[in-house]
Amino acid sequence: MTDKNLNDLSDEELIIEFQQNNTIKAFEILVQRYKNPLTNYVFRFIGDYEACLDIVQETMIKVYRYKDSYSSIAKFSTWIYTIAGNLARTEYQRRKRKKTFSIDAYGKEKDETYDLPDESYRPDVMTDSGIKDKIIQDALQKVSKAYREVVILRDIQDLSYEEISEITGLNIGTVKSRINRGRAQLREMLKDIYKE
Amino acid sequence: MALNDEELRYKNVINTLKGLPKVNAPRNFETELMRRINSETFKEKQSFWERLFLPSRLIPSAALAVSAVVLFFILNNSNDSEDPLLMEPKIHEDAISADVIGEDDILVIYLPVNYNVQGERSEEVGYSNIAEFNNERTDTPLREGDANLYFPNNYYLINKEGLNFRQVNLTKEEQQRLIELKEHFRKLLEQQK
Repeated sequence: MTDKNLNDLSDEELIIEFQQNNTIKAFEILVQRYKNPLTNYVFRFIGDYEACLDIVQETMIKVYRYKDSYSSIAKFSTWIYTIAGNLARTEYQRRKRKKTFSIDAYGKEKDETYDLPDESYRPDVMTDSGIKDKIIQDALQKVSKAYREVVILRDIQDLSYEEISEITGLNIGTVKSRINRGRAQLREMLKDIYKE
Repeated sequence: MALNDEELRYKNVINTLKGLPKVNAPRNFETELMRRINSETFKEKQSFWERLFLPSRLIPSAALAVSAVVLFFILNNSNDSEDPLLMEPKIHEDAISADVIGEDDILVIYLPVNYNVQGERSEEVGYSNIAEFNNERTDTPLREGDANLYFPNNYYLINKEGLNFRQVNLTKEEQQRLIELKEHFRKLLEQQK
Protein backbone atom coordinates (compact mmCIF):
# COMPACT_ATOMS: atom_id res chain seq x y z
CA MET A 1 0.00 0.00 0.00
CA THR A 2 1.40 3.41 -0.98
CA ASP A 3 1.82 6.35 1.38
CA LYS A 4 -0.92 8.24 -0.43
CA ASN A 5 -3.36 5.43 0.06
CA LEU A 6 -2.44 5.16 3.72
CA ASN A 7 -3.16 8.86 4.25
CA ASP A 8 -6.65 8.31 2.91
CA LEU A 9 -7.42 5.65 5.47
CA SER A 10 -9.42 6.31 8.61
CA ASP A 11 -7.84 5.96 12.05
CA GLU A 12 -9.42 2.56 12.52
CA GLU A 13 -8.22 1.33 9.13
CA LEU A 14 -4.70 2.54 9.89
CA ILE A 15 -4.47 0.78 13.23
CA ILE A 16 -5.78 -2.42 11.64
CA GLU A 17 -3.16 -2.07 8.90
CA PHE A 18 -0.55 -1.65 11.61
CA GLN A 19 -1.90 -4.64 13.53
CA GLN A 20 -2.11 -6.99 10.58
CA ASN A 21 0.89 -6.00 8.46
CA ASN A 22 3.02 -4.16 11.01
CA THR A 23 3.10 -1.18 8.64
CA ILE A 24 5.18 1.40 10.47
CA LYS A 25 3.99 4.11 8.08
CA ALA A 26 0.43 3.56 9.29
CA PHE A 27 1.59 4.06 12.86
CA GLU A 28 3.47 7.23 11.88
CA ILE A 29 0.36 8.69 10.27
CA LEU A 30 -1.61 8.01 13.44
CA VAL A 31 1.12 9.74 15.46
CA GLN A 32 0.94 12.70 13.10
CA ARG A 33 -2.81 12.93 13.48
CA TYR A 34 -2.93 12.67 17.25
CA LYS A 35 0.25 14.23 18.59
CA ASN A 36 -1.17 17.76 18.73
CA PRO A 37 -4.68 17.01 20.06
CA LEU A 38 -3.18 14.79 22.76
CA THR A 39 -0.50 17.34 23.64
CA ASN A 40 -3.16 20.01 24.04
CA TYR A 41 -5.39 17.74 26.11
CA VAL A 42 -2.63 16.53 28.44
CA PHE A 43 -1.09 19.98 28.83
CA ARG A 44 -4.43 21.48 29.85
CA PHE A 45 -4.87 18.70 32.36
CA ILE A 46 -1.34 18.62 33.84
CA GLY A 47 -0.17 22.20 33.24
CA ASP A 48 3.44 21.20 32.58
CA TYR A 49 4.68 21.07 29.00
CA GLU A 50 7.68 18.76 29.55
CA ALA A 51 5.65 16.27 31.54
CA CYS A 52 2.91 16.53 28.95
CA LEU A 53 5.32 15.59 26.13
CA ASP A 54 6.54 12.59 28.10
CA ILE A 55 2.98 11.42 28.59
CA VAL A 56 2.07 11.83 24.93
CA GLN A 57 5.21 9.95 23.87
CA GLU A 58 4.42 7.23 26.35
CA THR A 59 0.90 7.06 24.93
CA MET A 60 2.28 6.57 21.42
CA ILE A 61 4.70 3.92 22.63
CA LYS A 62 1.84 2.07 24.25
CA VAL A 63 -0.09 2.20 20.99
CA TYR A 64 2.98 0.81 19.22
CA ARG A 65 3.59 -1.97 21.72
CA TYR A 66 0.01 -2.93 22.49
CA LYS A 67 -1.48 -2.42 19.06
CA ASP A 68 -3.02 -5.87 19.22
CA SER A 69 -5.09 -4.96 22.25
CA TYR A 70 -7.06 -2.46 20.17
CA SER A 71 -10.46 -3.80 19.31
CA SER A 72 -12.12 -2.63 16.10
CA ILE A 73 -15.47 -2.21 17.86
CA ALA A 74 -14.13 0.94 19.56
CA LYS A 75 -13.19 4.21 17.92
CA PHE A 76 -9.45 4.67 17.72
CA SER A 77 -9.75 8.22 19.10
CA THR A 78 -11.48 7.06 22.27
CA TRP A 79 -8.89 4.29 22.72
CA ILE A 80 -5.91 6.64 22.43
CA TYR A 81 -7.56 9.31 24.59
CA THR A 82 -8.23 6.69 27.24
CA ILE A 83 -4.56 5.69 27.28
CA ALA A 84 -3.42 9.31 27.46
CA GLY A 85 -5.99 10.12 30.14
CA ASN A 86 -4.89 7.22 32.32
CA LEU A 87 -1.26 8.22 32.03
CA ALA A 88 -2.09 11.86 32.73
CA ARG A 89 -4.11 10.97 35.83
CA THR A 90 -1.25 8.79 37.13
CA GLU A 91 1.25 11.59 36.56
CA TYR A 92 -1.05 14.11 38.19
CA GLN A 93 -1.37 11.94 41.31
CA ARG A 94 2.38 11.40 41.44
CA ARG A 95 3.03 15.12 41.23
CA LYS A 96 0.41 15.87 43.84
CA ARG A 97 1.98 13.43 46.33
CA LYS A 98 5.43 14.83 45.63
CA LYS A 99 4.30 18.41 46.11
CA THR A 100 2.47 17.62 49.36
CA PHE A 101 5.49 15.77 50.70
CA SER A 102 7.96 18.53 49.86
CA ILE A 103 5.86 21.25 51.49
CA ASP A 104 5.41 19.18 54.64
CA ALA A 105 9.08 18.36 54.79
CA TYR A 106 10.03 22.01 54.41
CA GLY A 107 7.91 23.12 57.37
CA LYS A 108 9.17 20.36 59.66
CA GLU A 109 12.84 20.69 58.89
CA LYS A 110 13.04 24.45 59.16
CA ASP A 111 10.50 24.66 61.95
CA GLU A 112 8.83 27.54 60.24
CA THR A 113 5.68 28.18 58.29
CA TYR A 114 5.61 27.97 54.53
CA ASP A 115 3.30 30.17 52.51
CA LEU A 116 2.27 29.10 49.06
CA PRO A 117 2.89 31.85 46.53
CA ASP A 118 -0.12 33.93 45.74
CA GLU A 119 -0.96 33.33 42.12
CA SER A 120 -4.28 35.06 42.16
CA TYR A 121 -5.46 37.34 39.41
CA ARG A 122 -3.76 40.75 39.20
CA PRO A 123 -5.72 43.40 37.19
CA ASP A 124 -2.55 45.35 36.36
CA VAL A 125 -1.31 42.65 34.03
CA MET A 126 -4.63 41.74 32.44
CA THR A 127 -3.80 43.44 29.17
CA ASP A 128 -1.28 40.82 28.24
CA SER A 129 -3.13 37.99 26.49
CA GLY A 130 -0.39 35.53 27.30
CA ILE A 131 -0.81 36.16 30.98
CA LYS A 132 -4.56 35.96 30.60
CA ASP A 133 -4.16 32.54 29.09
CA LYS A 134 -1.97 31.58 32.01
CA ILE A 135 -4.61 32.74 34.46
CA ILE A 136 -7.20 30.63 32.68
CA GLN A 137 -4.82 27.69 32.68
CA ASP A 138 -4.12 28.17 36.39
CA ALA A 139 -7.84 28.35 37.08
CA LEU A 140 -8.30 25.17 35.11
CA GLN A 141 -5.70 23.49 37.30
CA LYS A 142 -7.71 24.43 40.39
CA VAL A 143 -10.87 22.77 39.11
CA SER A 144 -11.46 19.39 40.74
CA LYS A 145 -9.66 16.67 38.83
CA ALA A 146 -12.82 14.71 38.03
CA TYR A 147 -14.51 17.79 36.57
CA ARG A 148 -11.42 19.17 34.85
CA GLU A 149 -10.88 16.15 32.67
CA VAL A 150 -14.39 16.15 31.24
CA VAL A 151 -14.45 19.94 30.80
CA ILE A 152 -11.23 19.78 28.77
CA LEU A 153 -12.49 16.92 26.66
CA ARG A 154 -15.74 18.71 25.98
CA ASP A 155 -14.90 22.42 25.76
CA ILE A 156 -11.30 22.32 24.55
CA GLN A 157 -11.07 19.07 22.62
CA ASP A 158 -14.62 19.30 21.25
CA LEU A 159 -15.45 15.66 21.86
CA SER A 160 -19.04 14.49 22.04
CA TYR A 161 -20.67 13.40 25.31
CA GLU A 162 -20.73 9.84 23.99
CA GLU A 163 -17.01 9.87 23.29
CA ILE A 164 -16.27 11.37 26.71
CA SER A 165 -18.47 8.73 28.26
CA GLU A 166 -16.45 6.00 26.52
CA ILE A 167 -13.09 7.53 27.42
CA THR A 168 -13.87 8.07 31.08
CA GLY A 169 -16.07 5.03 31.59
CA LEU A 170 -18.82 7.20 33.06
CA ASN A 171 -22.42 7.28 31.93
CA ILE A 172 -23.54 10.25 29.89
CA GLY A 173 -25.61 11.74 32.71
CA THR A 174 -22.60 11.79 35.02
CA VAL A 175 -20.44 13.27 32.26
CA LYS A 176 -22.88 16.13 31.70
CA SER A 177 -23.24 16.77 35.39
CA ARG A 178 -19.49 16.86 35.93
CA ILE A 179 -18.94 19.15 32.97
CA ASN A 180 -21.43 21.66 34.33
CA ARG A 181 -19.93 21.55 37.82
CA GLY A 182 -16.50 22.10 36.35
CA ARG A 183 -17.76 25.03 34.32
CA ALA A 184 -19.38 26.50 37.41
CA GLN A 185 -16.10 26.29 39.33
CA LEU A 186 -14.27 27.94 36.46
CA ARG A 187 -16.80 30.73 36.15
CA GLU A 188 -16.42 31.46 39.84
CA MET A 189 -12.62 31.57 39.55
CA LEU A 190 -12.64 33.69 36.41
CA LYS A 191 -15.38 36.12 37.41
CA ASP A 192 -12.91 39.03 37.41
CA ILE A 193 -12.14 38.44 33.76
CA TYR A 194 -15.81 38.34 32.82
CA LYS A 195 -16.53 41.64 34.57
CA GLU A 196 -14.39 43.49 32.06
CA MET B 1 -23.01 23.37 17.12
CA ALA B 2 -26.28 24.17 18.78
CA LEU B 3 -25.89 24.98 22.47
CA ASN B 4 -28.28 23.47 24.96
CA ASP B 5 -29.57 25.31 28.00
CA GLU B 6 -26.66 24.34 30.21
CA GLU B 7 -24.16 25.37 27.58
CA LEU B 8 -25.86 28.71 27.15
CA ARG B 9 -25.63 29.23 30.89
CA TYR B 10 -21.89 28.78 30.77
CA LYS B 11 -21.35 30.32 27.36
CA ASN B 12 -18.66 32.71 28.55
CA VAL B 13 -16.69 29.90 30.18
CA ILE B 14 -17.00 27.74 27.10
CA ASN B 15 -15.86 30.57 24.86
CA THR B 16 -12.94 31.29 27.13
CA LEU B 17 -11.82 27.70 27.00
CA LYS B 18 -12.29 27.44 23.26
CA GLY B 19 -10.29 30.63 22.83
CA LEU B 20 -7.25 29.18 24.54
CA PRO B 21 -4.35 28.72 22.13
CA LYS B 22 -3.73 25.18 21.01
CA VAL B 23 -0.64 23.64 22.50
CA ASN B 24 1.22 21.58 19.93
CA ALA B 25 3.91 18.95 20.06
CA PRO B 26 7.42 20.06 19.06
CA ARG B 27 8.70 19.44 15.55
CA ASN B 28 11.06 16.70 16.60
CA PHE B 29 8.29 14.79 18.32
CA GLU B 30 8.21 11.90 15.82
CA THR B 31 12.00 11.69 15.63
CA GLU B 32 12.25 11.54 19.39
CA LEU B 33 9.45 9.00 19.55
CA MET B 34 11.01 6.69 16.96
CA ARG B 35 14.38 7.05 18.68
CA ARG B 36 12.78 5.92 21.92
CA ILE B 37 11.02 3.05 20.18
CA ASN B 38 14.20 1.89 18.48
CA SER B 39 16.52 2.59 21.38
CA GLU B 40 18.07 -0.11 23.48
CA THR B 41 16.06 0.96 26.49
CA PHE B 42 12.82 0.20 24.72
CA LYS B 43 12.63 -3.54 24.69
CA GLU B 44 9.73 -5.88 24.70
CA LYS B 45 9.00 -6.57 28.31
CA GLN B 46 9.80 -10.14 29.14
CA SER B 47 7.73 -12.17 31.48
CA PHE B 48 8.94 -13.00 34.98
CA TRP B 49 9.91 -16.56 33.99
CA GLU B 50 11.73 -15.40 30.86
CA ARG B 51 13.73 -12.91 32.92
CA LEU B 52 14.37 -15.53 35.59
CA PHE B 53 16.02 -17.90 33.12
CA LEU B 54 18.18 -15.34 31.40
CA PRO B 55 21.80 -16.61 31.14
CA SER B 56 23.00 -13.55 33.02
CA ARG B 57 20.86 -14.62 35.94
CA LEU B 58 21.38 -18.36 35.54
CA ILE B 59 25.19 -18.34 35.66
CA PRO B 60 25.53 -16.89 39.17
CA SER B 61 22.74 -19.13 40.40
CA ALA B 62 24.36 -22.22 38.89
CA ALA B 63 27.74 -21.26 40.35
CA LEU B 64 26.16 -20.84 43.74
CA ALA B 65 24.45 -24.22 43.50
CA VAL B 66 27.67 -25.98 42.46
CA SER B 67 29.57 -24.30 45.28
CA ALA B 68 26.91 -25.40 47.74
CA VAL B 69 27.14 -29.03 46.54
CA VAL B 70 30.95 -29.02 46.73
CA LEU B 71 30.90 -27.52 50.20
CA PHE B 72 28.35 -30.07 51.30
CA PHE B 73 30.57 -32.97 50.22
CA ILE B 74 33.68 -31.43 51.75
CA LEU B 75 32.00 -30.83 55.07
CA ASN B 76 30.31 -34.19 54.98
CA ASN B 77 33.63 -36.02 54.50
CA SER B 78 35.33 -34.01 57.19
CA ASN B 79 32.76 -35.33 59.66
CA ASP B 80 34.51 -38.71 59.52
CA SER B 81 37.44 -37.37 61.45
CA GLU B 82 35.78 -36.52 64.68
CA ASP B 83 37.48 -34.81 67.54
CA PRO B 84 39.24 -37.69 69.38
CA LEU B 85 38.67 -35.95 72.66
CA LEU B 86 34.95 -35.93 72.16
CA MET B 87 34.30 -39.24 70.45
CA GLU B 88 33.48 -42.34 72.41
CA PRO B 89 35.94 -45.22 72.21
CA LYS B 90 35.10 -47.95 69.77
CA ILE B 91 34.46 -51.15 71.52
CA HIS B 92 35.60 -54.37 69.92
CA GLU B 93 34.17 -57.03 72.00
CA ASP B 94 33.94 -60.74 71.56
CA ALA B 95 31.77 -62.53 73.96
CA ILE B 96 32.84 -65.98 74.97
CA SER B 97 30.40 -67.91 76.96
CA ALA B 98 31.00 -71.05 78.84
CA ASP B 99 29.16 -73.04 81.35
CA VAL B 100 32.23 -73.70 83.37
CA ILE B 101 30.71 -72.41 86.51
CA GLY B 102 27.21 -73.48 86.61
CA GLU B 103 24.13 -74.04 84.56
CA ASP B 104 23.12 -70.41 84.29
CA ASP B 105 26.42 -68.71 84.87
CA ILE B 106 27.99 -66.93 81.92
CA LEU B 107 31.39 -65.41 81.98
CA VAL B 108 32.12 -62.62 79.59
CA ILE B 109 35.64 -61.45 79.04
CA TYR B 110 36.54 -58.58 76.80
CA LEU B 111 39.45 -59.44 74.63
CA PRO B 112 42.15 -57.29 73.05
CA VAL B 113 41.52 -55.79 69.68
CA ASN B 114 44.09 -58.01 67.95
CA TYR B 115 42.97 -61.19 69.59
CA ASN B 116 42.78 -64.22 67.28
CA VAL B 117 39.42 -65.86 67.80
CA GLN B 118 40.53 -69.31 66.67
CA GLY B 119 42.97 -69.58 69.48
CA GLU B 120 46.05 -68.93 67.41
CA ARG B 121 48.07 -66.40 69.25
CA SER B 122 49.16 -63.47 67.22
CA GLU B 123 52.44 -61.79 67.84
CA GLU B 124 50.84 -58.84 69.49
CA VAL B 125 48.60 -60.82 71.76
CA GLY B 126 50.20 -61.47 75.07
CA TYR B 127 48.99 -64.76 76.44
CA SER B 128 47.30 -67.86 75.16
CA ASN B 129 46.30 -69.14 78.53
CA ILE B 130 46.53 -68.64 82.24
CA ALA B 131 49.73 -70.68 82.51
CA GLU B 132 51.56 -68.22 80.34
CA PHE B 133 49.95 -65.42 82.18
CA ASN B 134 51.33 -66.76 85.39
CA ASN B 135 54.81 -67.01 83.88
CA GLU B 136 54.83 -63.54 82.49
CA ARG B 137 53.54 -60.47 84.19
CA THR B 138 51.19 -58.06 82.61
CA ASP B 139 52.04 -54.41 82.46
CA THR B 140 48.60 -53.52 83.60
CA PRO B 141 48.94 -52.38 87.16
CA LEU B 142 47.28 -54.65 89.60
CA ARG B 143 44.87 -53.20 92.02
CA GLU B 144 44.17 -54.25 95.51
CA GLY B 145 42.49 -57.62 95.48
CA ASP B 146 43.77 -58.57 92.05
CA ALA B 147 45.90 -61.23 93.61
CA ASN B 148 42.78 -63.22 94.15
CA LEU B 149 41.78 -63.04 90.54
CA TYR B 150 42.46 -66.30 88.72
CA PHE B 151 41.33 -67.45 85.34
CA PRO B 152 40.66 -70.86 83.89
CA ASN B 153 42.76 -72.27 81.03
CA ASN B 154 40.23 -71.61 78.33
CA TYR B 155 40.15 -67.91 78.84
CA TYR B 156 42.44 -65.16 77.87
CA LEU B 157 43.30 -62.04 79.67
CA ILE B 158 43.42 -58.55 78.48
CA ASN B 159 46.97 -57.36 78.01
CA LYS B 160 48.31 -53.86 77.73
CA GLU B 161 46.96 -53.45 74.27
CA GLY B 162 43.55 -54.41 75.40
CA LEU B 163 42.75 -51.25 77.25
CA ASN B 164 40.00 -50.64 74.83
CA PHE B 165 37.24 -52.07 76.96
CA ARG B 166 34.02 -51.05 78.55
CA GLN B 167 33.87 -50.27 82.21
CA VAL B 168 30.73 -51.49 83.91
CA ASN B 169 29.49 -50.55 87.31
CA LEU B 170 28.28 -53.70 88.97
CA THR B 171 25.33 -53.94 91.25
CA LYS B 172 25.64 -55.57 94.63
CA GLU B 173 24.20 -58.83 93.30
CA GLU B 174 26.64 -58.85 90.42
CA GLN B 175 29.51 -58.08 92.75
CA GLN B 176 28.42 -60.98 94.97
CA ARG B 177 28.27 -63.24 91.97
CA LEU B 178 31.71 -62.11 90.84
CA ILE B 179 33.14 -62.91 94.26
CA GLU B 180 31.60 -66.38 93.98
CA LEU B 181 33.13 -66.78 90.55
CA LYS B 182 36.51 -65.76 91.84
CA GLU B 183 36.22 -68.29 94.58
CA HIS B 184 35.19 -70.93 92.12
CA PHE B 185 38.13 -70.18 89.81
CA ARG B 186 40.50 -70.24 92.71
CA LYS B 187 39.29 -73.70 93.64
CA LEU B 188 39.64 -74.90 90.10
CA LEU B 189 43.21 -73.62 89.90
CA GLU B 190 44.08 -75.28 93.15
CA GLN B 191 42.73 -78.55 91.84
CA GLN B 192 44.92 -78.19 88.73
CA LYS B 193 48.00 -77.76 90.85
